[in-house]
Amino acid sequence: MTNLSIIDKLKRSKILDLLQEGKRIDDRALDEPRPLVIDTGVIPHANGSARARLGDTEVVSGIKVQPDKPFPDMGDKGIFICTAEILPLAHPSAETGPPQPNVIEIARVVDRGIRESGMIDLSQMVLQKDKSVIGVFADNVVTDHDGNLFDACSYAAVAAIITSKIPKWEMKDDKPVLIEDQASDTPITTIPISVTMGRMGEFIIVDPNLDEWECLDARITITTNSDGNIVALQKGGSDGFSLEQLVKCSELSIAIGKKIRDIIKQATEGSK
Amino acid sequence: MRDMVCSCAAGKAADALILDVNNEEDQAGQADMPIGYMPNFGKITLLQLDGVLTTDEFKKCIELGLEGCKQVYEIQKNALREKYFSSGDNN
Repeated sequence: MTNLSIIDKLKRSKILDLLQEGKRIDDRALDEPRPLVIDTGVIPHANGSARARLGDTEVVSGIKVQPDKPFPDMGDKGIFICTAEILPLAHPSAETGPPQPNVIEIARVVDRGIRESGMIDLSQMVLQKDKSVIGVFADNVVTDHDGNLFDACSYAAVAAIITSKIPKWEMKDDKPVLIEDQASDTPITTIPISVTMGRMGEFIIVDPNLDEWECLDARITITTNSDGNIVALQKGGSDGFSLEQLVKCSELSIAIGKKIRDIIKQATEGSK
Repeated sequence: MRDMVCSCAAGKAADALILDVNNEEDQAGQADMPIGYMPNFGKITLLQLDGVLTTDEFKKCIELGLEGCKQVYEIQKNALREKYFSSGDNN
């Protein structure tokens, strides 16, 4: 990272010193994510919702389901779009106004992970081919920022989607008409889990908190599906990874993804 | 100047790992992974993946992509050499 303030430089050298001894600034192991707590049904009027607390990072995700036009080249599939926003109250550096590039990247990485995994069977969401399909919109709101918003947003969105219901529409005179009280479960094919890792010097750390996040050399977010395959990946930061480090990251993302998937499964089980 | 960045994409189409994914292969294929690489440092500076790969395929896919990057690096170097060193008068 460039333009580190003097405090950040001191922090970085402290964090690196600890890593040399195999320790982290918050006493976690290098490959240990922060505790994850998922609450579902936190927004009763949404079609699905969840709150994810990853350590002191908190995200609320709400699902809105509504008829929409399909993408021009995918008339036989419903649509899925994911957004992200950081509330000003989430962190002193967060401000109101149009989304900054870092927030746009969060939405894209979360969107790509869920989309590429094929989590939602969008082929079941067509009302009339090429004309009208069902759209699933996942809106993520960061209410507390302590680093690694990628994973917190992803876990909240995935949990919210699992608990969501799809209302029933029927086409009448070329227009979708809502049929009351006929909602069904969202067709879920797999549970994508993102795991974000950072590199500092030669060390790879899982789920960096904000102190760590601000002095990473490079970061990588790898999303895996329920079969343990990699479905999406995004590298960030100005420095790079070696091949060996990337292979290690891919193995970590599968092992940790499995544990996180179990937590999300358990948290969403009762709410279906 | 410490290094040059070279890049190449690798991916998967029709269950085969492929180098330099073209548009048809990207549209119809199973995975697409652009890679940016700095050969002197041995560092991967850009990496993005859309599509499904097993861990083993992922590793092979990066290795394949890096081979492509190294080929591109040689072409880049030769182009610069030809431009600035072949005629001997530095233009």
